[in-house]
Amino acid sequence: MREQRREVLVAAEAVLVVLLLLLTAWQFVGWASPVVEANAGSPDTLADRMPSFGMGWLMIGLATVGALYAVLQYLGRTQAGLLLLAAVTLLPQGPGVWAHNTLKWGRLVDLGLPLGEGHPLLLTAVLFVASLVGLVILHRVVAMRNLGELLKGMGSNDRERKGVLISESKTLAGIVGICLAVALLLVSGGSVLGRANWLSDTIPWAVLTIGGGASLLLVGFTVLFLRGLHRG
Amino acid sequence: MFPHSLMAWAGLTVLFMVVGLAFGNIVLLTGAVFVFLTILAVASIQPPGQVTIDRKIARAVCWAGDSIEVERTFYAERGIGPIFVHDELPQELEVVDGNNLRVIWKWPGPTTRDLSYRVRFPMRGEFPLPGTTWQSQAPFGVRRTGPAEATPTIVISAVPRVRGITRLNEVRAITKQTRYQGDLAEAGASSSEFRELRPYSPGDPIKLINWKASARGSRGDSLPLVNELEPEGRKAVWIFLDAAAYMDVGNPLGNPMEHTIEAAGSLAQFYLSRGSTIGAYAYNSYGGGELLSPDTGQKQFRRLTQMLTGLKSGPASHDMLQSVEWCKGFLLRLQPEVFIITRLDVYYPRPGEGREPLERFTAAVRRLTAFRQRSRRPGQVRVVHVNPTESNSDPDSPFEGVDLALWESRSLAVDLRRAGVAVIEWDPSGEDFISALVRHMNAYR
Repeated sequence: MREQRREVLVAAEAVLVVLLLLLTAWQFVGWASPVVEANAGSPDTLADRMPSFGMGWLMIGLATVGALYAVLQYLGRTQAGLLLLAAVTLLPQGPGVWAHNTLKWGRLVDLGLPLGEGHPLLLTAVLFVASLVGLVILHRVVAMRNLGELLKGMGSNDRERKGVLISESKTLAGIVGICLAVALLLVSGGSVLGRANWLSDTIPWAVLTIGGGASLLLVGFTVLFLRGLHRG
Repeated sequence: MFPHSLMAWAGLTVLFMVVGLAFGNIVLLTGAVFVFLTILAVASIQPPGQVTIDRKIARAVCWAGDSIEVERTFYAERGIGPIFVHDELPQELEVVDGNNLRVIWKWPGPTTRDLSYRVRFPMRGEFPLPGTTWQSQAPFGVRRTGPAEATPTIVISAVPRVRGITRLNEVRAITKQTRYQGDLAEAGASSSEFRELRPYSPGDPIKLINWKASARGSRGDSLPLVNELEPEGRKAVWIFLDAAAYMDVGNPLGNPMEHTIEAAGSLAQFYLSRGSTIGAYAYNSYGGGELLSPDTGQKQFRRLTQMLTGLKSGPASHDMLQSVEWCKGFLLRLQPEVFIITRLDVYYPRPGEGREPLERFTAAVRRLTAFRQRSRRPGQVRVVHVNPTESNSDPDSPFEGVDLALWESRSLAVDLRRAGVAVIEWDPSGEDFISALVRHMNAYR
C-alpha cells in the first residue's frame, strides 16, 4: 500500500516529464520548420515537419535528457534535475516566443537566426504557459515525493501520510487552477482592450494591461519577500 | 526566509516580465503573470500556528514491562498546511499503540485532534519524556513555523517488577526459617519468651512485673523489676547485590543485572510482608555502592524499589569483601540473614588469571558467617548465582554451545557449600526466581 502510493507519485512525475519533453519536441519541430505563411495551404503538419528535422536524433536527445533527469533524481540531485528539465523545456521555446514581440525596437536585436513564425500566438502562449504549469507541478510533485519519504523515515503512519499528500495535491491543483484562471482573465482583458477601436492605436493596450498587472504582482511579491527577510 | 527554489522561480519570472514588457511580448508576460500569481498565492498562505498541545499521563510510576497511555490533545487556530507533532522518546521505550509522531493536515479554521498513544517501558529505570514539539509548514513548503516545544518534560519511573510471593508462603522450610530466633529484631511486638529482667519504666504493663525478683530488693532504687520479653519474631535480612558491569551483559531486557534486581525485589517483598527488617547494599554500582539503610514496612519496600529503579552497573572496583567491611556496622547490629546475589562464574580462576578474586569472595562469605556465629543462633549465608544464560558462541572454541558459566559456577558452588554457604543456582532462562528459591528451600526441609 505504502509502496503503491510512492509509485503513484513516481508515475505522475514520469508522466509530467514525458509531457514536458513532448512539448519540447513540438517546439523543436516548430522552430526548425520553414516559414509558414498564414495563407499557405496545409502541408504544415507535424508528420510533414519531422523528416526535415531529423526526428530520430530529436527523440534520442530527449530520451537522453529524460534518462539524465532520472539519474539525477536517483542520485538525490532533484534541483539539478529540475533545472535541466526547465532549461530543455523553456530554451527551445525562445525563438517561437521571440517571434511574437510587438515592439521591434528597430530590429536592433535581430539575431539573424533562420527563425520561422512557428506556431501562431495563441498556440505559442498555450505551449509556453503549459510548460510553466508542468514545471511548477513537477517541482511540487518532486517535493511531495521527498516529503513522503521524509514522513516514512520519521515513522508516520500510512493513513496520515496519504492524507497529507492528498491534501497537498488538492492545494496544488487549487492554486494552479486559480492562478491560471486569473492569468488568463488578465490576458484576455488585455487582449480585448488591445482590440478596442475606441482606444488609441498607438498604445499597446494589451502589453500595458498585462504588464501593469504583472508589475502590481511584482510589487506584491516584493512586499512579501521583504517581510520574509525581516522575519528571517 | 523563502526557499531558494522559490527565489529561482521569482528570478526567472522577473526576467520574463522585464523582457516581455520591453519587447511587448504577450507570451512572456502571460507566463510571468501565471508564475507570479502562483508565487504570491503560496507565499501569502500562512503556515498553521497558534498551536496548543495538552499532554497528560495517568501515572508517573509503572512496572517495568507495563505500558502507559500518553494523552495528547492538539488544537491549532490558524493557517493551512501540514503540522508535525512529535514526542521524542528514549530509545528503550516502545510505542505499542498509536504513534508518537503525528502529521496532521490543517485546512482553514480551528482544528482539534486527539493524538494519544501508548508507550511501553520494557525495562526499569527513570525515563524522561521530553516536551511535545511541533512544527508546521505552509503548502509548497514555502513558509514554516517552529519547531516549538508545547509541553514540559515528564519523568516516568519504571520500577522493577516483583514476582508473586504466594508460592513462597506455602513453603514450610522458609516459614520456619523466618522464626529463627537468632534473627530476632531489637524492636517490635513482644513474644511470650523471656529475655531478661530490667527496672520498671513508665508504660510497662503491670502484668510484666516480676514480683518475686522485685521482692528480693537487689537494686537500690527500689524500682520493681519487669520481665523483658523477646520481641515478636521479626527477621532481619540483608541483601548484597552485585551491580558490576559483568552483570549487565547480553540482552538489556533480561540480563543478569535485571534478574538480580528481580530477585532482590522478590526477596524484599517476601520478608517485608512478614514484618522483617530489610537492608541492602548494591556494590560495584555506577558511582560507587548504594546503601539501603535497614527498615521495615511498605515504606522500606518503596525505598528499595526506588534504589533498584535507578541502579546502574559500574566497574568491578569494589569487591564483596570491601562491601562486607562497609556494611559491618549494620551486620553486627542486626545479625541478619544474608543473601548475596551475583554471578559465581566470574570468580572462577581461569588459566592465566589469579585466584585472588575467588579468595576474596570466599573470605567475605566466611566473614559474614563469622558475624552470624557471634549471635546466639547462627544462620546461613545464601549466595544466589544468576546464570548469564548465554552459551559459548565462539565457533573456534572447543566449548562452542556449552554453557561454561553454569559449569564454572557449579564448580565453585561445591567449594562454597563445603564452607557452609547455601548456594541457590538460578537459571533465569529456565525458571523464575521464586521457583528456584522454593526448590532450594524444599531441599533444606
